[in-house]
Amino acid sequence: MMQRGDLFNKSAYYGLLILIVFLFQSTLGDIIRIGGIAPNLLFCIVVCAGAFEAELFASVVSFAAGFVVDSYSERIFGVILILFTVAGYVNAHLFKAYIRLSLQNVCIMTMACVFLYELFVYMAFFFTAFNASFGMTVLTKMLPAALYSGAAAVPFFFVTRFVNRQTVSEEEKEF
Amino acid sequence: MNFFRGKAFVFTMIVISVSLLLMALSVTGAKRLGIGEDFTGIVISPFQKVVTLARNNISDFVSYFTDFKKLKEENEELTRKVAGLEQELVKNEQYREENKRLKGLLEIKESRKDFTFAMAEIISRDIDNYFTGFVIDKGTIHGVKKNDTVITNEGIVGVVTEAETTWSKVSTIIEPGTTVGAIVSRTGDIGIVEGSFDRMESGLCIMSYLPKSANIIKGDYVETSGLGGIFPKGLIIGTVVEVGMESHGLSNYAVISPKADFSNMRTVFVITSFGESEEQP
Repeated sequence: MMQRGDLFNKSAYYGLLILIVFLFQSTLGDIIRIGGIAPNLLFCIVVCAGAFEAELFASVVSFAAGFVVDSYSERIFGVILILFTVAGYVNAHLFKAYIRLSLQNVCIMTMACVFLYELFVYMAFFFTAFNASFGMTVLTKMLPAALYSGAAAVPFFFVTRFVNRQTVSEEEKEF
Repeated sequence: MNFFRGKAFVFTMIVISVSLLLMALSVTGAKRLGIGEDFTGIVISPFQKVVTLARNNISDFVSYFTDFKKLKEENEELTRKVAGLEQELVKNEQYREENKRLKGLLEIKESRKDFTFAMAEIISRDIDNYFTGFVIDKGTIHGVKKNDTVITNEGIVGVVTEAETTWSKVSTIIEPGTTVGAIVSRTGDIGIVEGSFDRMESGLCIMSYLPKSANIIKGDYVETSGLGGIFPKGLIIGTVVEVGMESHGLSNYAVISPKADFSNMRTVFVITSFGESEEQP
């Protein structure tokens, strides 16, 4: 089991990271926007949490990230929350059971998750526009966002790995 | 490791269920399910408040730097605009002054239909303190000639002493050597207004050759008499400020304060011609 102090430190780390990233993206998002596309930095946190943390903890972190996004969006509350929580849980499960923990895999998983996330959001909120423009949306929005987010996951990977090494030993990861 | 087992899976399912319930509450109609919506709002709004506050503060802080260039450009633009407006203000002031002068001219024109005027700008003044004469921008091609009377809407200023093609020299009535036939409006006493070296510095002139019996008092108006044919009759010269007897005791004199403001004049009117009937007393 994770020590109470470690749990607190990790919670503080992820809580602070989510808050900082959300504030950064919602205020200075234009700085990192390339060609009108911004990376989904919160999803990078979700995937990193899934990769480094146990399933329950990853789910809670993802839930927190989803809650922040959802509570601040004008959309129906709950959709983003579900997508984030499920993504956190699935990632954690896949990383524990099937996928080797590496930078490359974290980036690939981030890309895949962001692409699917964009796809779900498109379908959930713009399903009436699910027509010929869908192909263009995939090419001009979803894929670039996925690729950009995959690249943006690199610093998150290293920071999370550093924090993880400082707080949790290998056997404790099974929490 | 089973995907569908464990605390994490249960947690995820709870989140999904609660979220779906909240979504259903949102979609099916807020009025009927006011409690659910209210609950969501109560939970979310403080969080939103904090995030928004932080976001706004960060935005404000960051915009201080990012907007600097924009603000600088805006400042330059506004400075240019202010300069333009100031120039416009000066122009308006000039128009106002000109309007005032022209109004005065119109008044004189209305009252003296026999006058022909040429409006002239003062282009230079005598630089020493002994003379108050000036140069105007109108000359013989504008109809100005030697001995033409120069006035403002306030009163008589002087006389053209030299008329060139495009410019003319004017001597004021307070300069020694300038003489004007004058009459005291109230009493009808006749005399000659001339410049005095002693009084020039004070902007005053003297009315000489007044009869000893003249009942002139301070504040009496003095105007041109029209005698001599140079100055038209009835132009205001000024007011009496002092009355005295000449040293030889044969006549009185009066010190006159001219109505025209010599120091602030910028435009004058030259009477290039006036009716014969006004020339003679």
